[in-house]
Amino acid sequence: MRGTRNRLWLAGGLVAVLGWPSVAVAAATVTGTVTFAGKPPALKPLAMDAEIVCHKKHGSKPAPNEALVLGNGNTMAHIMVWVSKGLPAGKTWPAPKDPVVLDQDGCVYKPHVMGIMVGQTYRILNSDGILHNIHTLPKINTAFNRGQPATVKEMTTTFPKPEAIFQVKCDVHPWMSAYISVFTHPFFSVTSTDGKFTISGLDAGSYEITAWHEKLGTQTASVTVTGNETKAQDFKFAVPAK
Amino acid sequence: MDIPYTVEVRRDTGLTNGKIGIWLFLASEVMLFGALFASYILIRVGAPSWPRGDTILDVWLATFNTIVLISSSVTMVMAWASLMRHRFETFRIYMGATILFGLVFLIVKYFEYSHHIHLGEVPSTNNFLAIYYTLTGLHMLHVFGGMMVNAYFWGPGAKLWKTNPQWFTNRVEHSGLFWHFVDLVWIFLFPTLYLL
Amino acid sequence: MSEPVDVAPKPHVAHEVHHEELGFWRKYVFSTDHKVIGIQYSVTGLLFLLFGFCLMMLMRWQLAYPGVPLPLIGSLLGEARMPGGTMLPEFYNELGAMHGTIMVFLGVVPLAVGGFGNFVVPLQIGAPDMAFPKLNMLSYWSLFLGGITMLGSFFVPGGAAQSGWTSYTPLSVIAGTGQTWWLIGMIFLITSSLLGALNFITTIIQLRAKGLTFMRFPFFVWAQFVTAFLLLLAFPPLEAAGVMQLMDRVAGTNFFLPSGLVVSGQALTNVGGGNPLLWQHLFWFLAHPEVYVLILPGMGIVAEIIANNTRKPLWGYRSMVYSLIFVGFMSFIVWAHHMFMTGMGTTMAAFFQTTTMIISIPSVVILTALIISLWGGSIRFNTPMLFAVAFLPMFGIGGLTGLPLGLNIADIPLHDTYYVIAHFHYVVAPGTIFALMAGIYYWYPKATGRKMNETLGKIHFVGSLVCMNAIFMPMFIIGLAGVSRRLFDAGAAYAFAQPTMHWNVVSSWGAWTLAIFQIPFIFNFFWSIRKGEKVGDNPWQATTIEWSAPSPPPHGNFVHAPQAYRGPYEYSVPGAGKDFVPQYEA
Repeated sequence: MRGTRNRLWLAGGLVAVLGWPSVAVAAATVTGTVTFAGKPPALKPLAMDAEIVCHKKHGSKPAPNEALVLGNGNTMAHIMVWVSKGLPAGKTWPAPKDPVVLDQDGCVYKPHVMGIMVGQTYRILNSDGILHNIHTLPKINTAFNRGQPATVKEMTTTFPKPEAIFQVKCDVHPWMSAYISVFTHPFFSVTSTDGKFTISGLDAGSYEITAWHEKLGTQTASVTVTGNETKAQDFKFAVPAK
Repeated sequence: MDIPYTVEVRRDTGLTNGKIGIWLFLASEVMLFGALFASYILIRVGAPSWPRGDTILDVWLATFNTIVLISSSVTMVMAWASLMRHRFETFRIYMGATILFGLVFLIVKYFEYSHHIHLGEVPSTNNFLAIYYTLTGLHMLHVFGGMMVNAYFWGPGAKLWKTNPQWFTNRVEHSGLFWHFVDLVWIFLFPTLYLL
Repeated sequence: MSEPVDVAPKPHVAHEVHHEELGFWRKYVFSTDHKVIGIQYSVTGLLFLLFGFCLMMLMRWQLAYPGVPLPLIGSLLGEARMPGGTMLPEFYNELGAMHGTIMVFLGVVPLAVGGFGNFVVPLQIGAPDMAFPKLNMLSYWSLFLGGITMLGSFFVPGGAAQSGWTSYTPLSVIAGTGQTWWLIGMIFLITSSLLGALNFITTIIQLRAKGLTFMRFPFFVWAQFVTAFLLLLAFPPLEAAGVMQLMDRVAGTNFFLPSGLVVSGQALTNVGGGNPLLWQHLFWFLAHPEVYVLILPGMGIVAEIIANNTRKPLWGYRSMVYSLIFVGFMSFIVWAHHMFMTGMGTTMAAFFQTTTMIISIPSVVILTALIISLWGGSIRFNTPMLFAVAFLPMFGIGGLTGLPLGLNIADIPLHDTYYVIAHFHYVVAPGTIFALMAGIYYWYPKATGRKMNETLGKIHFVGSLVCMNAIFMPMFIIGLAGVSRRLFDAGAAYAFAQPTMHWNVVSSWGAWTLAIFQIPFIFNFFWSIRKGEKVGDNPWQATTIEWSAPSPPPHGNFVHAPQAYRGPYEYSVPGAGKDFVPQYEA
């Protein structure tokens, strides 16, 4: 029937129109594993004799050196991976309402490496109950240097400008170190001991992905994604040959 | 009210207030520049290497400036002497010359500084330049200050000659003492920075 | 060459009749009259003393109860400084640095030298004003600008200076913006002192009355005279140092920044080659004479009041004067006793500890002479006298406890501990400030024509004396136990400090109670302007020339030019009609 055909076309058109956004929804993902090549060097654990409280907290198992943390099969933790090129210029992504949390626990910053978005709240906790100090060392944002005595359990701040990875240190405990990067977009991920990173929600397109390690430098890779696909991209870091 | 011994001397000290005042001020200035010279010595002695002044600075320009300043001290004395001899017009000529010499000094220093800055030789480059700029910069400020006072006595302040010539003469003398001090500092600065 | 005019000063007739009336601003604000300027300095100094006191009271909460939120006031100070009402370490440092700076440079010196010096000295030497009245006014406004700068520094990002009142490099060079403001403020304050000093010296030499020879000066005049020389000659090196530190901070120079400096684990990229010790030398070259600037006017005030209230001449006037001059000279060659821990060799240390031991001698001479002056006196225990007499043992404790600090070996365990804090506060707080209080009660009638209330004064005195000791005596104990100064938690983090922590509570309650006891003084000060007992020219039956002027003195000070006929302390002269013969009476 002509009327039914018209309704079918209308229905189909409606589905297409209503369904278009779901087709256009950014759903591509880049994922991968970061591993360490070669024999990992033995690094000295963090010496905390200067701070009795934390020394006791770690007891017989001193905190390991954070510069190289490996999982089974030499997978690398503390690698920051992010989309460095290919995102549409001028597009803004809203900063999440949830804060990024940094905790000072056992005189170690947890997490060791993190990413945060411009304007997102940075919540700094002091779980140790002793005097700590948060001293960020950015080059673009204004440095933040405040003492956090035992009684101040929580402090917050934000970073108004995007910036490449910079260090966070404690002026009371020199072995404490963390790294943070400020992004305008949410396409970053930090690996844990399984070495895995996942960056999802990407539009179809070609991107450059960068992986960063605090001592071994950065590596980049080009990735092209379409539709809803999940693309794999692994990274391998090695100690440079002398 | 009238403060005594502003113009006439007090007999048992033989001095006017202004005379003591300016000498005391110069004593404090000696301590100021002395501290900077002492700092220069400490920094230089502790430095692993120190450039010879003439390798960085223009000795001829500074020699010219030295002659300019010494000449200005001579004209300054002549200005005061003219007042003592009640020759007001001659005073104006000599005082004008003093101010002009000061201006020449400042202009030469301006060229000197801009030349260095052009070459990227700024205070933060090394400690030699840091102390050079600080010492000569502070000295320059004193030259400028002295010139301002002299200009006042050459210009609007000269009215005082008509109402109280003795006081005016004394004030020019005090300004002259300051000017001689500024010259003396340069005479120390010049060999220390440029020649050693 | 002009002929010297006869030395007799022109009659200083009160000139208000002859000059036209000055407007409000020229009369009370931008005045060139030394009395107005003296009152301006005094009020400014007292206000800053109060402010510095408040900073300290805040610190004392943290020291007594580390980490406990401060009720009421804590929330007023904002999250940036006192999150949840508990004090951040950097705020503690701000308070510490500014408490010291304000008390020394904006509190005591303006009051002791600018206030008392300006008001009393011209009157005591029989002069119509200072030698350079306009310069005097400029000096005050320079101080005012310095004070505004220092206060303003609290509001810059990062807060006020936090590197101690000593601003040691390289910490102060890398510190926040507040430090730059501190340096600029110091330049204003130093300029003020320099100009004031040359005014005092010229005035004392040139404008003294006929017959007032140097050895007939009241001891107070001598004290201000020597103090002025110290200010004149010792301050410029700090001015130079301040300029150099400013250049390090602002122009990137490296006067005080050594090579290879690592800050927070990151190596600095500057050229280096500077010397942090250079700052210490330049700073202490001023700051040691500065402490004599803090004490000498006080000694002068105490001397006047003791002579007056014992109705006896001062014992050993001549030895006191020579000691003053000797102290002034020696004060320039002891500075490195503040630097014994900087790694100087034994030769340098031997030199400085010797000069330091030597300088204690004239101080002891002056103190002993003042104590002996009490012997056989007919003592009147009015409020100025109470404060003046209390000064003696308090300064004695402060001075004696300084001796181990002046000896290299003994200084090693004591340097930068609470022992040092106790030592210098004893000399300045129950020392100089008591002397200044005595001076206020003593010269208030001259300035206002009314006496302050005696009962309130005695309450003020007793409370202050007890509280001062409650605050500072325990600090000797804490310091001997090894607790460092400038710890924001008073040593709570250290096991060895635990046995002495409770003394902090005693000190703090002493401080807060001391504040309560200043209320009678503040009330008395203002109430007595209108309601105090009216007095004539010489309510204390004193001998020095200021008491021949009307109370308060008019512009020009004296109706007839005063002349000095004898020494300054002719009390209880045998055969005289009354128990004092004024210096100015024929």
